[in-house]
Amino acid sequence: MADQATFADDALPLMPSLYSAALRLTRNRADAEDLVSETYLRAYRSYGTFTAGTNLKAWMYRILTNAYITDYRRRQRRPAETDLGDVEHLYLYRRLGGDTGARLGRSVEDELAGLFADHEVTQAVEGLPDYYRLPVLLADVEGFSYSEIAEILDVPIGTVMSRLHRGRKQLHKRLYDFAFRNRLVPDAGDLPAGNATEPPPGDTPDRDQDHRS
Amino acid sequence: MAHECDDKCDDICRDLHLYLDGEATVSTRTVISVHLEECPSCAHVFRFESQVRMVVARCCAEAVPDSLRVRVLEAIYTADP
Repeated sequence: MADQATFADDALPLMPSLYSAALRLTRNRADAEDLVSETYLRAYRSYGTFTAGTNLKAWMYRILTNAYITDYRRRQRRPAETDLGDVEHLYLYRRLGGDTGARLGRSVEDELAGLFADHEVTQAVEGLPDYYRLPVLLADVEGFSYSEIAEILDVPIGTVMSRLHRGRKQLHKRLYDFAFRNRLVPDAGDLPAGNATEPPPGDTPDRDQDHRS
Repeated sequence: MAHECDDKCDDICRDLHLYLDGEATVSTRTVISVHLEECPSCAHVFRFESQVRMVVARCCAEAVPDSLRVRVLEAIYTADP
């Protein structure tokens, strides 16, 4: 059993990571601050039920996730999220990585640099539906293991793995779409045969199309 | 794969995320590590995917506003235990 007196010292160092996740979930600062604040208050009140020495970060994330799902999402009354369909394996790599960079002796860092702006990366994450966004954030940003994510989200490990797999592919597709919009990657027509895939019509910005000569 | 590959490379790249997630079994890890030493194309795929993750993680990291720290501390200290 954890001592409430040490809660602030124990839990406050986790705030940057909790706040970052909250921001990606709520997509705005005011709601993210509310969510983090609510998370800390709930955690403080039930700190007696936390077993000292076990995984505090996972425990805090579980509270954050529950607060987000029960309070925030319900309040938003968003329409149910529909499945996005599947994206092929190594979607981004096939389009942006290829072998071209390696042959030209460019580092992976150089290949990726400047293809999308930082805010486009966060936008790509924020655009994912919750059932993909949560596992992707927990794994790729916070570095939780599959079993920790399963516990945080209260789903079986197999579900974590399949959502992560599909979520990452969706994320990569969104990243590619940004690179495409920024016209930093070849037009899909220029991709090697068999790899060419235009972003779906709905995703292709008309604005950019208009400016294309 | 985007490179000339055999079934081996397909198998290796199928386990890419398991490996990068640190969730592959010891034997799978060993097989992949050995293959990556020998196959520059697969090594490039792995570097690329791992770099994309690093970019995502870096972009998602946010600094906490001082006002939020104060708010949380106040909430804790004034909360009923």
